[in-house]
Amino acid sequence: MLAEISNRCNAVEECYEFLLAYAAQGLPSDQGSKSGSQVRAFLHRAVKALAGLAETCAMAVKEEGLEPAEKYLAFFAVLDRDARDSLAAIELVLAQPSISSQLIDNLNASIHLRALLTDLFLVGEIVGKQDKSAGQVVTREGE
Amino acid sequence: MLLVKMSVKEEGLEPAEKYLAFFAMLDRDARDSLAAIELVLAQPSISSQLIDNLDASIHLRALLTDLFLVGEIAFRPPLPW
Repeated sequence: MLAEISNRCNAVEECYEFLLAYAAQGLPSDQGSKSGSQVRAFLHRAVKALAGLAETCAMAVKEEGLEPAEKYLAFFAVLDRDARDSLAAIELVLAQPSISSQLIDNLNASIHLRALLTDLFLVGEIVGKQDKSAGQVVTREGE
Repeated sequence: MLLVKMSVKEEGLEPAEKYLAFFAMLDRDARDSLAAIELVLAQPSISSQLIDNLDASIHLRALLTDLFLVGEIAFRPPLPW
């Protein structure tokens, strides 16, 4: 479960990194270039990662026995709102017949997307630590 | 929020609805920041990297910018005229 959260966070962060590069290329549309053909794939991957992300996090709290659960759930409610807002912005971009670098630059500037990213940095750091300590317990048990 | 509403009334701040609209936003930003801070406090160990990520939180930044604005308005010296 923690690995799944980590993978979802990575998919969104990788998409953002690609979008930064895409915005810098000054492309008028996503047709006729290599990165143009990739931009929709990255955005679709981010959509897939965001759909149900907060629910997955909430399930992890239960399955992993994270305590105090209410502190995690309160933050995941904030994450859920930011994920939905960002999803709305990404899907609006995906609905366009052509995706220019300028459009992606405006998406990158979205405060909703930035709020989501900073939520994910925090979650990624915590999940990474939890995953590592779980691994240590397994190692110790195996000794 | 109740305290804020009372203050707006007691201090006779006008137009009251503009203050209340802003304080509703401040309330949401404060709750979101609280959720992030309490998530960090719930961790058994707090690294500099974790705090760096908390510092980067847009919710915390939104709250801080709200507070800068409120601070400026609340503590500005009275106009000379």
